Amino acid sequence: MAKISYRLVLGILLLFNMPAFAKESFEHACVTCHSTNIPDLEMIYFRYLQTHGSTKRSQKAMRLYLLNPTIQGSTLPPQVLKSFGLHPPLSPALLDQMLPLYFERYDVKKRIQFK
Amino acid sequence: MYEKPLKAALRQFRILYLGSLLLLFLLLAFLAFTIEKERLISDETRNMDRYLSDLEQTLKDHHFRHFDELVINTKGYRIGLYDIDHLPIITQYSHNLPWSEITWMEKDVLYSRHDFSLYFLGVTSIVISKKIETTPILIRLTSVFVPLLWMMALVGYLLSRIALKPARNAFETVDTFIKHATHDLNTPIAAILSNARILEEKITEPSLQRFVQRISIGAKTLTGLYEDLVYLNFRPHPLIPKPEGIKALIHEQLSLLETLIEYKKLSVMTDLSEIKLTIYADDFHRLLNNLLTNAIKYNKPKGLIVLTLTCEYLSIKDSGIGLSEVEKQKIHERYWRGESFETGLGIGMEIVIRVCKTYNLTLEIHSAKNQGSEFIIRWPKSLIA
Ligand code: HEC
Repeated sequence: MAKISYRLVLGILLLFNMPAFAKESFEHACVTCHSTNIPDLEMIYFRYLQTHGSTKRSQKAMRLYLLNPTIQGSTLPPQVLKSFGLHPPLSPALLDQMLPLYFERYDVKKRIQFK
Repeated sequence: MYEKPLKAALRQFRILYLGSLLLLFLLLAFLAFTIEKERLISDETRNMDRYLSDLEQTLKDHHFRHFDELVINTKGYRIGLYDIDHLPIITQYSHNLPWSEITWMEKDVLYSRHDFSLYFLGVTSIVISKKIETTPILIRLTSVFVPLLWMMALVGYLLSRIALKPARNAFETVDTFIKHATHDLNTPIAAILSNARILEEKITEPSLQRFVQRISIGAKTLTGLYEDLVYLNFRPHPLIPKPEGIKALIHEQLSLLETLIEYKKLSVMTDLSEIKLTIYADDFHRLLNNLLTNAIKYNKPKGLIVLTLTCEYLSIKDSGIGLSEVEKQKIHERYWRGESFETGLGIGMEIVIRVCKTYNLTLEIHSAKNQGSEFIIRWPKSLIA
């Protein structure tokens, strides 16, 4: 049941998935869905960093995954995937818009300081 | 007169001792410095390692508590956090780092890198560095080595005094002996001379006259030697030089040596111009006496002595046995290299050279074995009165 409903929401979202709209809507495109009990985007960000060792590589890998989600390609533990199902595939255009916003939002460089 | 070589030996000893001491100390100081610096570096490396593990723990904690900002206490280090492509996440370095090294030194700055196997916060490597302060080591080393060096130098100085004391005493004994002996020679020589003169007048028999003549020649030679010794040991310098007619001085010496000249049946040719030099007469007496004595002594019987005096030079030429190259070399070296009594030139030549040096006279020697010698003395214009 849950699986279908997410696909539905995604479907609706994909309807609005035009660059002109997407600009202000990182909240819409990603956060709305991720803010429920779905894995936290911040946690995912750091998980990617930890796995790939750089923001550039993380972003590349994330893009690759989100274009075509597979169980093997996921960074999350299998239990998570099991309970949420695979990510709905996202369009290259949406990703090109959202991923930079995503990485900007949680940018690790802005979160470390020397004293 | 033996003070100078002794002092030279002492000086050589001290220079050698101090030099080798200094070299040894420099070497030791360098070694100590290297060891101390090495220790400082290894201490600092250990501190850095500890700091880096702490920092790794901090990164790990923050990785899972990512909601607040991470403030890294640098604790006096310079720090750089890098990702897997060696791109800076946050860094205090502006220059490129050598990624092939784990720890390295660059201009007294110690660098250490820590690579992580788990990339917490996307950090794969941390580089930290700190300047190694060597000034305290240098201060510590100098505060130990410099007083030690002074002490050793003092010991060396005292040792050299003690070691050379017997030699100095021996030299002083010889010196005083010569001085006393010189004084004591005066009376007997004078007695021989005056008595020989009386005998010469009293004895009319030619065969006996010859013996008396020999006695007075011996006594006169002794007088010359005596005067040389007096000159060397008791020369009352500094004296104020005054204009002296050289021609007169030469005639004076010739008449003193007359007996000798006659005895050897030498003929003397003179071509002397009137010239006055600002000198101390005693110096020139000794100079002329020695040069003339040599010209007589080493001449062939019935030989020739030619004396030429111009306003530039004095030439004393004989028809004697001449000087070998070795002897000429010796005189030359003695003239240019300075104080040394090891040349074996004899007191006469010593005095000649000494007088030449005192008045800046140049001594020219033209001579070949068996062809006679010519000694030419040239004086600077400033000497002409
Ligand atoms: C329909 C709801 C939904 C929307 C909209 C959504 N996601 Fe997700 N996202 C999920 C679910 C469910 C998962 C967990 C399943 C997975 O990881 O494949 C997930 C996981 C992820 C992951 C982890 C991928 C991995 O390695 O497993 C990333 C990254 C991610 N989302 C990015 C985005 C971005 C960026 C956007 C906006 C463009 C977005 N998501 C929009 C539902 C959504």
